[in-house]
Amino acid sequence: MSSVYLYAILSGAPSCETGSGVCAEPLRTVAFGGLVALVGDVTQLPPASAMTLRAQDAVLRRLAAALDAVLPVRYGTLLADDAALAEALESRRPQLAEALRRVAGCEQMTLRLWGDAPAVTPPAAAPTEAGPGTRYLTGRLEAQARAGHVPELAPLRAGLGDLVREERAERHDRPPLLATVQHLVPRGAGSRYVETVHAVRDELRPWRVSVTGPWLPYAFGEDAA
Amino acid sequence: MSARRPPLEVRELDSLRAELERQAALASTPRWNASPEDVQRSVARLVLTLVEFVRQLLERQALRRLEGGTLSSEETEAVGVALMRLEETVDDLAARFGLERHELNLDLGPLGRLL
Repeated sequence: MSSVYLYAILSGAPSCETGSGVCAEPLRTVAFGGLVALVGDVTQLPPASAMTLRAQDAVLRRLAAALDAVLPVRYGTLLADDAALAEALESRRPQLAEALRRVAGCEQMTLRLWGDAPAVTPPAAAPTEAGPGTRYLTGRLEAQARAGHVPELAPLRAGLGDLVREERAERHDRPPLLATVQHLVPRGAGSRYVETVHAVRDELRPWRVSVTGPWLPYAFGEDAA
Repeated sequence: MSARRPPLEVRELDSLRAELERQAALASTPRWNASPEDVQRSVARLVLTLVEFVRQLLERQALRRLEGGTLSSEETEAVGVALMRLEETVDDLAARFGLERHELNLDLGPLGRLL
């Protein structure tokens, strides 16, 4: 018995052939409530691996060239049938439409921050005489505020200016990998982005950055909203 | 474009690999299945996942109230100690059953993960 494998949400029906998917199955589009889903009918999905992820990426990149927006879905999203697909889309329709608008005409650049230690941040605001419970909660509050904050990149942000439409940052703080930052930039702006990063590299010391991309907007889907 | 990108160092690649493996483990959260060979561990995983879910809800609420200034000093201390001890208890019980933190989660299919 086959299942419906959801690859992506598209901004419209592609003008080119949809081609075949990771299981060599023919791909098709399903329109529902203003959304267009790219799906394939599969009996069994290969486990996630570098090879299968690249294969899925290649499928989506080919279609992205013919569309304004492609919103990739997490690898392995299987649904029982088209009715289950319609139900899943309906439950998230506003969020998916918003995510499509967000990534339209854009691609993703990925920046990794490296170093021996993160930037020193001011100590938590808990009073020195505070008990363990207060220190615990204050520490959590500080960690929460710090989670998406990468002050080490301040010189770069100034240089990138309006090139960056949106940012998603995740701190790791496991040296040497300190943070991963995803930037949504206009399609075709990747070279300018890399040149800008290169230009401010010295200002970022003692931290180092590496850039990969352009990618499809994997970090800017509905889950990331 | 790639010619201007300096190569990564070996230790940076090792660090990146470790992070990707950690994320892959998070992404492959299994659905809950009671294994006949290891029922106690399976039940413990489910129960601890639900306790952790509730703990995180309570913590978020406490942080919202702390930010909003609607907790007195005494309340902040009491709630903080309670949440801290609950977290320690979850960690302790998880360790007893050989469970890692990332295993305390449930894949809810199209709805995503519980935690």
